[in-house]
Amino acid sequence: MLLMIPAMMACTSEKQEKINALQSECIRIHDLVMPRMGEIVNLSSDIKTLRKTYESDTADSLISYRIHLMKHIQLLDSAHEEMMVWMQEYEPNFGKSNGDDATIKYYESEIQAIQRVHDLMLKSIEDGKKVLAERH
Amino acid sequence: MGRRFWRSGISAFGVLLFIQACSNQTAKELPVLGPYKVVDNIVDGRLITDTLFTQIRPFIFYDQDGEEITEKTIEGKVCVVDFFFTSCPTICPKMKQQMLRIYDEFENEPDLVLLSHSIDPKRDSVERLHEFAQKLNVEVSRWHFMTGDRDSIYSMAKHYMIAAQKDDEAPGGFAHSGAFLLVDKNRQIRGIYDGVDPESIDLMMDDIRSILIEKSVLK
Repeated sequence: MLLMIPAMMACTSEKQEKINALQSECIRIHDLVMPRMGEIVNLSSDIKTLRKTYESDTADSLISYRIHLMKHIQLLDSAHEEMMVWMQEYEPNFGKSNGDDATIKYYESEIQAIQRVHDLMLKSIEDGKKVLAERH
Repeated sequence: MGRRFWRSGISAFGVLLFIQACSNQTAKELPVLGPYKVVDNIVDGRLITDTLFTQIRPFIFYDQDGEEITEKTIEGKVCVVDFFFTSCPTICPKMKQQMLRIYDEFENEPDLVLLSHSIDPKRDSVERLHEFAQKLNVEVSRWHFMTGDRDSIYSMAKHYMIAAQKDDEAPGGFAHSGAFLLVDKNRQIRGIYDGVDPESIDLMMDDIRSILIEKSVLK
């Protein structure tokens, strides 16, 4: 029985190390794209301004162009929103009120969630820039 | 007894003079940051060349009490400006710690105002900012936590950054860079500091002291 105690302690410390590594990975992915939030809003704002210049035009081609612009505005805005929601819901202290196994699962799923936000943000920025470069 | 009194009185006066000399030394001349225009004017038949620095543009946001905050609110005041949001899990708590140091240090200085813009106005409503300010136990007249239209807040962040640089290059990350800006009584930027670094904020507090004693003369 006494022999089992060091083995259990080693296991707990291994799990804690894994939790720390998972938490760091979440923040690392977040930090990669967070500085680009301003770029997202500024692109969205620039496309909104571009859209306004075609607002009263009723030609079919311009209506579909306006819809195209609107789609990119929404993509940029939803990327911004998803990051804000992720930060709002992310629990840096999840481990304090949950067991190690549940905490590992939680941070693993958070890595997937923030990676998705990361990809969405980069895609919306890339597409938004293209839209502005290829303006009518 | 009387002689000892005078001796200690003279010593105290000496210390006061020393403190005064030291405080005069801290009143350093800080440059105005950002783009400028050189304008020629003819005054009394003579050509006068002036350098005009960029002023922070007018704005309208709302603080934690629902009051409208504009450029008129900060007329004749020195401002410390930052961008944050209440649910930020990374740098904002550290920034707020440093901002609280500034708030406490200048407790009796009515000419210094802190302006914290939320970049998450969707969640940071007036009500939420009110609760946030109450938790920090700060007075609304000295520290405005501001919300408003998201695009306008980001555009303001970009404007501050452009106004602080000479080359018109504004990195998109300024709104979440943790930077604090020092704005003088003429709404001109006099310094940028790292809002999460206590040493940078020590320097900022020295600069605030220098700016506070300046007269409001447009440069």
